[in-house]
Amino acid sequence: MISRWFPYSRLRREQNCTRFTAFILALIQALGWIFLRLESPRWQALREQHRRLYPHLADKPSTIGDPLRYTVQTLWLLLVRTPNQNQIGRQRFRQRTARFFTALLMIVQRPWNLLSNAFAHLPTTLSPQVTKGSHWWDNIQWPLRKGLYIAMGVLALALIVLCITEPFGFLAQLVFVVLLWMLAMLVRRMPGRFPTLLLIVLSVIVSCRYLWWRYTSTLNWNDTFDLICGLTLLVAETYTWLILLLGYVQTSWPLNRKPAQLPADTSQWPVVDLLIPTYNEELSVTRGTVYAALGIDWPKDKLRIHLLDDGNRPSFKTFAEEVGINYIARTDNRHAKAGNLNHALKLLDGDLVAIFDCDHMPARSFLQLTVGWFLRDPKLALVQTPHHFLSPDPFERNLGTFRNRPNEGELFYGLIQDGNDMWNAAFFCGSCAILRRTAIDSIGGFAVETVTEDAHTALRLHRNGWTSAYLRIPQAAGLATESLSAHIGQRIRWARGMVQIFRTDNPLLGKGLTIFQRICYTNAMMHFLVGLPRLVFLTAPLAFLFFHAYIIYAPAVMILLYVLPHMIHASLTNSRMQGAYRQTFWGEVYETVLAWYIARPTTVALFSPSRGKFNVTAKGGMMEENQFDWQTAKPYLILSVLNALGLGFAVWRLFYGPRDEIFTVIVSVLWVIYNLLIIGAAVAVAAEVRQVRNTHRVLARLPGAVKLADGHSYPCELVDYSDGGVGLQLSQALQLPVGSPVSLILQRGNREFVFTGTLTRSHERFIGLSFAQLPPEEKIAFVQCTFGRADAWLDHNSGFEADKPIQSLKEILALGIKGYYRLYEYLPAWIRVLAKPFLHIFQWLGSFLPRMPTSTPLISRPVSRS
Amino acid sequence: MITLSLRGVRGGVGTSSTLAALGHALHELGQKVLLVDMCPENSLGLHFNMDLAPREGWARATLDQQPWHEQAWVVEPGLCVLPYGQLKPSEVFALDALLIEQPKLWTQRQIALAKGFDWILFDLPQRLPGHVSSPHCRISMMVINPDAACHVLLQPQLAQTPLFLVNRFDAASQLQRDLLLIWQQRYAHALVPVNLHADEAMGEALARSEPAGRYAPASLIALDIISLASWCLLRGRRPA
Amino acid sequence: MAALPTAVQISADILSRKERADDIARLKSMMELHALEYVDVSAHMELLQAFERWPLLAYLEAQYKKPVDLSKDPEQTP
Repeated sequence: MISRWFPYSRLRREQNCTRFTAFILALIQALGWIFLRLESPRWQALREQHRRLYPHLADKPSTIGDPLRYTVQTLWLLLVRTPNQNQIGRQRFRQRTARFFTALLMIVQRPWNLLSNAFAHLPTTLSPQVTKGSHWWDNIQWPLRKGLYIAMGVLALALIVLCITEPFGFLAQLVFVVLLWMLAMLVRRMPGRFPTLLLIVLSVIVSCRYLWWRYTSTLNWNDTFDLICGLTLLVAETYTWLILLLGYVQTSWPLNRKPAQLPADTSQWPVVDLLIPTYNEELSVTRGTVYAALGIDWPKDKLRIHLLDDGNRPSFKTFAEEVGINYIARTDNRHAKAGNLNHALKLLDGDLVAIFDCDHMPARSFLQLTVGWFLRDPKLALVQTPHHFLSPDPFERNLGTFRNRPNEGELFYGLIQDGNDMWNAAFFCGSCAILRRTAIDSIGGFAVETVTEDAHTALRLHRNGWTSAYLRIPQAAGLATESLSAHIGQRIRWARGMVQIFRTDNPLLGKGLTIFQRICYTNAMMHFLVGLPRLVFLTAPLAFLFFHAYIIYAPAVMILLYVLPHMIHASLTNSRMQGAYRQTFWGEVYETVLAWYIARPTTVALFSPSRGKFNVTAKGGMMEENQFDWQTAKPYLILSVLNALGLGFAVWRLFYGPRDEIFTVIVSVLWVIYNLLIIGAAVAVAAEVRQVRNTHRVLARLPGAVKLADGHSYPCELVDYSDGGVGLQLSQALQLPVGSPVSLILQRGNREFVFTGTLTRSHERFIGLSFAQLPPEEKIAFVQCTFGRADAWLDHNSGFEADKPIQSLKEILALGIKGYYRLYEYLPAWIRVLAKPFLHIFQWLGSFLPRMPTSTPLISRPVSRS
Repeated sequence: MITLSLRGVRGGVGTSSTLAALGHALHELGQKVLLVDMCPENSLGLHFNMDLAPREGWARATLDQQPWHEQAWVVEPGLCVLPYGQLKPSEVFALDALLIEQPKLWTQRQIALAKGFDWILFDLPQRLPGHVSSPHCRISMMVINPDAACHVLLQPQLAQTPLFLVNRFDAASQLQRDLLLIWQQRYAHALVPVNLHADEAMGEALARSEPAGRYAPASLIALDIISLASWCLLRGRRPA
Repeated sequence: MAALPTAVQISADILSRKERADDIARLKSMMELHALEYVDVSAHMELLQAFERWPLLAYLEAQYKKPVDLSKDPEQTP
């Protein structure tokens, strides 16, 4: 009894408390028993939920700080809504307040919902009137109609100019942006493309107004230093504004082209030369591509496969002879890939040229889906299909976003190219594409002047009146770059090449392009100039915090009233247009990582396009263990130290700076914190995660069957495959020793194929088979049953979550914190020893923070292993 | 009620085993099924752990002018087997002649059975034209094995049987794959889209006196048979 | 023993197995290319090779084709 009321000895014995702590805690408990009647049923019910309500205290040894922790957590529990609150007291009070607030909210919400629902149904309710109206409109005579068009255009333009240029005071601006925002929120719910255009218009107005205001009233002309800093930021902002506008034009109306039907008579199908250029890639990678190419459904006498080996390697020659494809090598490797292709073209005479990088495995339906358009449109020079990657790129691998978030390429191949296609400006991406031979010959072969021969070739084709097409059906898959440094190296090459084209063969100038083609090409090239502006944004608030430079010479409230609508509208519009292909804010991380590295080469290329050979960073091999890429992360570490210093300055300014600047300091601090977290996310990318396997496993759900040596067969589900084996899920466990032979029956279309492999692992209902010993012809069949399936890459985006900007922001910020934590883990031991006490203090302080009660009791679940 | 018959293109292609397994699978899918043994060998019941060659059966009863429908055995509620009964060779021919004489005999019986069953499955013999032609079935399938002999036999068969069912397909065999490809090409509409794979479990099932689906429910052949049953259900639902 | 799937579930699973096995059918349905006429060239090639491999099959094929070909296009037969 005593031990229950005054658990001093138990605390001493079981929890190892000091005499003082044990005495105080026991005393508090005793007081509780005396004054609170803890034995009553209500208190008992509460005590039973101890683990749920106080999750962080349940298994913790008792310490002197616990009473405070209990107090904080209890207050927290009383204030926030808990997932399961049935048994907790004061529920009625909370319900009443909640009801009051919902009622209050409903006053606003109900008309809003009515209004927005009306907007959502607007297109259907309006459509009869609209059709009637358009009839009436069509019946008007053309000169009159033309006049009306012009009048409406002039009126709209005048109104827009007024909206952009009219200077507003604080209140007027507030009303203006709130109205526009409400309009956007209403329009957002309407389906269809017209509301998207409306959102674009709103966003353009708000952004233009912001920029106008920035140019006219936020520069401090009296102070040279302020002016320089302010102008630098303004130039960077103008750049993003331009990219935003060009992007709207580019992607406002994606074409969603469908394949064109081929004639039923296969003798009318054109002859295709399929080129697989290679330079230093491994044979094991190239093999899969060749096998897949051999499986393409095209008449054998009309499909010629050529392996273009710039490395001149005997092993490639032998392999080509083995599988019966053409082998082309050359003595020099001038002009790299473009030279390699041009050299091969001299030896070939097919009607069409399909190009696959040596690690891009084509699906068997590639040619039948793409070639139709060449027959339908005699001026068509190019059909491009998406590049799909079956392995995670360094971002996806290091951030753990593979298969659940769209990656960097998703936006480009999912939307931008489709948008380009609308304006006949879809361009060549070097692989997974097919071109018309006469078109290439007419421009003198693939362009060799720049390091991005693909885009330059497409530009020349367009200049010469050829058209292009983009087919958004993933019909090939390849390997992503292995390491961050290799990835950055590749992007540097693209950036440099695109800027080179921008300088030497500017799409805005010269003959033969439509205005929209010019815009699309310009945007594609300008996009790579993002490096410097991004660095400006990452350091801009420091100019004020360090040097007290007024970079935006305006009251902080006005800045917010102008800049927030600009950002919110852009984000709303882009979320609607690109929601399926990218997540808001993730692009910032991609850009931030690349910014430093592409800033220098692009700037150099911009001023002297022929100069500056920036060696591509060495291609990293497999990440054998977790490691931190210090070399790559260095610029970001410096940036984060600078921003952290900025925070220090901010604290100093808060206490010792002028009173009227406090709000400005706070805004700057928020900006710096955002920068710090984005940089943190970039740092997180540099912590390279170990790659577990040599070959990349592709997840799949394919029906199949296994046949054992004793003649028994069982149905199974193919859950993953690589070029050397498969993982299978059976409906019941098989008792088989590792190493026993097992045959796998796979279906493709109506046909069945059998592959005999050996059992490598068996865990309950999951087994793994290795196909290392397959003869070559069966390997071809295996690739055709797996990587080469027509539908192999169609559902790659099924795991993507819909874009939710707020959620996305939270994730990015959490990622930033994680980045710093990862950095800490990789720090040298002595720094960690120094940092440890501080970290302990933080942890100790953190232990006082309240926690959200868990809704269900925690049961440890076995983590599935594969 | 839907009637279905299976007949081998030749002996030994696995007709009875397939019929027994199909009957069991349809029953598993919630159907009331009657299996009728039309073969004088009188051995369909073996698949359901019944006696070898029972004396009584529908053929015996028909010849003896007895009530034929009393001869059915209930294996499980909703799954019945009607044996052939023991006949002397001469009696078999007499019955065959009788069936030719009265072509409506089984049609009338089918109408009588319509209330009690969703499916009636007939195991047809090789020869005996009266036995073969007597039941008029909504779905008649000819069971074939993917071998050259069956391929030869198929050539003149095309006109008579609307559907071919491939049994004992082993995808590892080049010849079998090739034959299947030819058949898919040539008899695209006549070939049942479900192939029954060669599986040791099918042979073992008979040795255990069980239909394959009950003996080895996890086996590939059991899945194939269920697929076949599902296909039959879909096809049966379609207006003829 | 775990609960067995019901009959309806079994059929649904089997139908989905069949659908997932056919890559061209899935391509058509997922990309909404219902009108696409796909030529399975690899199957056709395999068919030609089959007749090369097995003379009896080639012989029977000729027997099977002959009357059809004659009635359709008598000029083309050598």
